[in-house]
Amino acid sequence: MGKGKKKGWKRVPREADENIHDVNLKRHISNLPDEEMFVIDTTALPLEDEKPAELTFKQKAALKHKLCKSALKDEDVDMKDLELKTFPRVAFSSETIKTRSNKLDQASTKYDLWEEDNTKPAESTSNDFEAVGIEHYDKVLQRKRRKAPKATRFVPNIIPAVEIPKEGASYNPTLDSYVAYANQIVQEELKMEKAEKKINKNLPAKNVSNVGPGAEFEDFRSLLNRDEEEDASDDENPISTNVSSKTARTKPKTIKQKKLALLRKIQSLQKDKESMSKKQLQEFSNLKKTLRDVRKEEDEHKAKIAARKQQKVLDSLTKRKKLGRGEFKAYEEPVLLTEELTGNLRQLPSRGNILEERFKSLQKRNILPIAGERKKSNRKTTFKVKFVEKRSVKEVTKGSRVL
Amino acid sequence: MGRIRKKFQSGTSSIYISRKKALKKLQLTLKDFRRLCILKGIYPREPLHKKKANKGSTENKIYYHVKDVNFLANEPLINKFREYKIFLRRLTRAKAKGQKDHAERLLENKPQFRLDLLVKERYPTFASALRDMDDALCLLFAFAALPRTKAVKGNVVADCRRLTTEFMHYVIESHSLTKTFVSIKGIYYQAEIMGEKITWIVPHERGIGHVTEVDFNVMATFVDFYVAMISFVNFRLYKALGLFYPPKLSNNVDEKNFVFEENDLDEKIYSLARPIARTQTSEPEPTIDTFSESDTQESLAEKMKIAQALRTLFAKCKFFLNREVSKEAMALIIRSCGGTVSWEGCIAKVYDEKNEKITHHVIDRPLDNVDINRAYVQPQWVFDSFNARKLLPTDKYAPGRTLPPHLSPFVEEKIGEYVPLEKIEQLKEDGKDITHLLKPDEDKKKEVKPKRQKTKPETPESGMSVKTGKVFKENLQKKLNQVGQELKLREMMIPKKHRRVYKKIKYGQKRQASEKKKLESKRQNN
Repeated sequence: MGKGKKKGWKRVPREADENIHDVNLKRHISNLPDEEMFVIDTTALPLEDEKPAELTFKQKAALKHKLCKSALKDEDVDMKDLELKTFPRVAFSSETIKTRSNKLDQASTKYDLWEEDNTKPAESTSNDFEAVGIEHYDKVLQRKRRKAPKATRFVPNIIPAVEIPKEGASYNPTLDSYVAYANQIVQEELKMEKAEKKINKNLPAKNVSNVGPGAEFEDFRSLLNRDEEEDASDDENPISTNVSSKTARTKPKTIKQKKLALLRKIQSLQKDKESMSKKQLQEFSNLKKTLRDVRKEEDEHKAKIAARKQQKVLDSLTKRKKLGRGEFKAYEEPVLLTEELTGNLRQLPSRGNILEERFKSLQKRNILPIAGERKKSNRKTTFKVKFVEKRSVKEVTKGSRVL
Repeated sequence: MGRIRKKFQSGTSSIYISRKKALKKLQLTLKDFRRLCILKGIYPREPLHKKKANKGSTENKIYYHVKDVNFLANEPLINKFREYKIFLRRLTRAKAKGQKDHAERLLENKPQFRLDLLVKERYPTFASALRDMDDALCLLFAFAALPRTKAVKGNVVADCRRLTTEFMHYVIESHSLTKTFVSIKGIYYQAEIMGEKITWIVPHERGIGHVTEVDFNVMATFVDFYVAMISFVNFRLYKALGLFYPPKLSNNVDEKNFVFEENDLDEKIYSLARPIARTQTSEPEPTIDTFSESDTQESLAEKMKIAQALRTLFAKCKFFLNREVSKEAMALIIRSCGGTVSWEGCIAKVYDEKNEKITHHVIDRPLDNVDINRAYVQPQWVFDSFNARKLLPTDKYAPGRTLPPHLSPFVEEKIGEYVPLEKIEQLKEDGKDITHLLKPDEDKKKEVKPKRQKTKPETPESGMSVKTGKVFKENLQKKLNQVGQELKLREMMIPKKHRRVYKKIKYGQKRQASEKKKLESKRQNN
């Protein structure tokens, strides 16, 4: 494409899309009186008392050079040079410097955003081809705003933004509601305490016994000695101990006993067979009932599946999802102790922070991810010093010792 | 031979993209990306199969939908971010070099972007914007009380204050406040605006303590967006009601002696004490926009009546607030029910403290001087009267008295649930049928339990007495069992490497013992 053609694009207004709202702005600005557009700045900002600025290295070097030079030439030093050259401190305060569009910003919101009149005026074109061309032009030059794709219309959560407060959270609650509310919070705290205890229990014991490593052997042997003693006194004691020995193996069976056992087995099998046929007869008579039961079970099973599916969908819309590897700590609802429940609004102590609650609520509703800490790389941070022996060839001369 | 399909090229793995990759694709810093996501309303997703989405590994990452990221790539706001970055770089250079003029010029031409189009994109209809008002209002009210810091800029806080006051003025003028509840965190309000129930919390007027876990940059971005959104919502609401936007004071009162300075006028409007100007004089009729299916004609008519009664609840009352009472909350409730309010040091004062026509004086500390013509009440009277929709007797709320408990109007009576005594009494007075609320053992709970005199139930004193004792018989079996258990414990404590040897020794010992026994039994038998 030729250079001239490309340059022509620059003349096209790039922000024509924003012109829609600029139109309103301009309309408004032309109607505004002078007083609303310009402000006479009456605030005089005093510059702070400046500390004498330190000379930079360059300045110091230049000064030194000058002094040396003057000393060499035996000239009088110019006192003005020795004074610190301070650049005027630039004092910035957003109050003194009013940005150009401070006042205009307010003006920009004075139109109805949802009014249908503000849409882009339809460009009347005689040619259909022209319309297509203009559309393409708009897309390419990014004048037209892209529509949000369907995937972007994602609802992260359907929990209401502000949850309805519990009865016991009132600053002057009834006894029962307060007790119920406090109990809830106590339960949560107990859970946390339990978890902590569990962790502490599994930690290595602080108090290690003073017994040395050889002591284990001693204990072990003492047990054996004890065992020997016990076995000796075993016969005297008619009462059995918990530590019972294994039962002795039974004697092998005789042929007679084997035959008897076999007979008994056959008999039991025959019995089973009879009972089976009896059972089968029973079952035939109860067929309807069994079918009904089976159908009921199937229906229940299907209902369970459907309920589970529904619950899954509901969960995906209400529960907090794990976005990122950070841990989520729920917001602790503030409670007042019984001493603080004076029922007086003036003496109500300040508990709980709304900003924290809002932040946690945003995290709970899957709007904000919890990124967690940065990953620590496994790279070594300390390095071994490598000793490199450097030898030069030039060092080697006649009579030198190279070790 | 068919095409070879590689793993992780289609399906879940091609829909989700991790945050790092998204940053690389969009060529943004993390801060800018976070800002952009918040402003555009792009939320991270949780894929069903993490392993598939992450191409085999189960690392915990933050995933975004690929289409979301492509949509972000077309956002012109990214150019504005880059311009801002360049502006910052130039500004720091100019400041460091001491070029004051250059820096001033740069600041004057600071790149600013407007979020109008974003608001329009995210909320195509006004109703959708109203539905998100909860969150927006809570955040703005919370920010309006913050001190100025690096993350929380002064003009943002001023904007929050202005917009929240405008909204409160709208609520007052439209009489749409329906419920209030004072909790430990703050005051909950619920208003019904154009069919949407909007609930928000206003923190108590106290200093905000040390907050550890809140990222203020993120919240500031939310606030930026919500400020833009609420300014448009306010405009539309004001237009709908026929009020001037930005609000002006109505000219009913004679203001000849006032010197008009701009700041003063703002403060007057912020004080909520005076009504604001309307373009049309007639006030709209109370409308009930939320219907439930169980409503019949009579109940609807009743609701209309109640709504009308609420508008004129405090119409005949003139209030004066003492210094320690929270003025915004009181002014909001009193004026939305038709009353007039004033306080000491109010810029837009209508009447003085000594005015004879004052009917109620809201005070929260012990009384000093009593004026017989007015009723002295604690602030809870206003809240409770509003929730009860009628003027409660003021003697129970006199200063210094223990107040009845403050009930939450958000709780709805369900059959079978225990309803507190005060509510039952209220319902009785209203003439409603309360038999379904009473449980069979309600009589016991009907005893009024005043909170102050909470005494623990006295335990009967355990008296001293002597009874004949039992002879202590030592249970030999138990003893032996205990011994056996001790032995087992000690056996458990043996280290692993010694256990084998121990076992073998024990086995040998037992074998010998059993052989001995066998021989002895044989000898006995013979």
